[in-house]
Amino acid sequence: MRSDALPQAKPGLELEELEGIDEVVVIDGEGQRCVSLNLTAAAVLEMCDGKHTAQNIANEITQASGADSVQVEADVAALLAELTQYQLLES
Amino acid sequence: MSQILNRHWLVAGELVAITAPESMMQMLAPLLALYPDGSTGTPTPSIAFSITRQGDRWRLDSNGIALWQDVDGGNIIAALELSLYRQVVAAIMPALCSIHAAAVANSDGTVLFAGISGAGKSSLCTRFLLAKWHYLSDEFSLLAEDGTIHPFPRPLQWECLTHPAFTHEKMLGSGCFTRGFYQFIDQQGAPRTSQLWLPNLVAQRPSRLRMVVLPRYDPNAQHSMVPVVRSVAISELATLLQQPIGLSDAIQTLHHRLPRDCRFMRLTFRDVHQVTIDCAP
Repeated sequence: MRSDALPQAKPGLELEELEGIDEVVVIDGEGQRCVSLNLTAAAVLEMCDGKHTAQNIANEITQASGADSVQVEADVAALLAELTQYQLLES
Repeated sequence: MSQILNRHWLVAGELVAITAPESMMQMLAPLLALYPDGSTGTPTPSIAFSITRQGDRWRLDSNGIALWQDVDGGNIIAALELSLYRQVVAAIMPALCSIHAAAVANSDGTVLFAGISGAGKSSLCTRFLLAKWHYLSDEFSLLAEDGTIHPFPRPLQWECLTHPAFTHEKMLGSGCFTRGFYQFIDQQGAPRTSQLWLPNLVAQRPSRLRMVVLPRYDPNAQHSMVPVVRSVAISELATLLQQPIGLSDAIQTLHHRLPRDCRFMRLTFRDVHQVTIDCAP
């Protein structure tokens, strides 16, 4: 996915945070299936609103975490690819 | 004329009453053999069945509602069995949530084998019952708020009369099982025999859940047993609940009820005899 792409989560996804273990289950009601994510991945998915570019998402995470921006950009790109693979993003 | 009997059983804590002629009660006996007697000190039954003879037909009623009529008594037994499981699973909500899983226990606690039909639940259950574990259920694993599994010990029923991994000689010679039968007429009108295996070691009390195994039988795969992240296991278990609650509620219910120290494993096996479990805390 290009850094100026505008990833958008599939409509109707529900995120269920599992208290105390930093894991989130995403429910795809349309597909009647669940996908498990860690909190970071879930936060990225929530930012996939069709308005944030992949670069915007990486910038926000860099600001919030103070992590190395190059590494964050690579991680976000890899994560978006995985979310696409799990059919959680609009194609 | 057959004598009319009225008997009570405690099925997963629910008081079940059955009124039936003695001949039908004898046919029912293997299906109900593993449930505690409920005839003493308990209140009005929450689930009641009545089997009566009307002309050449048998009639099954439950709580005043007609369920089935048939000339074949075996079909009445089959209908009662199906309705019994449905009503018990509905009645125990929300105190117990029912997971499509087999459950066996040793002194360390309970292990669930959870999965869809064909995953290998009953085979794994049988393998551990032959190793002197205690039986809780082969189909309905009842999870309480305190993280224990409550017994729902229906008889084991295989889809085929013989099981490729367990010969009848081995089953009966083990001393771990008693065998029962009932006959019925299938939808094509052919006589069929349903074979019931009754484990001799049945858990009488709830037992703490220690491990959930997500099995997959694959005759061509290498044996493997690997840990699964809790949320992944919960995601899969949520689709195996047998009560009508949405996925979202199912996930949160399971997360709150499954003990925090419960381990989750994914098992791929081709020979059930190779499977070993250590559920010690």
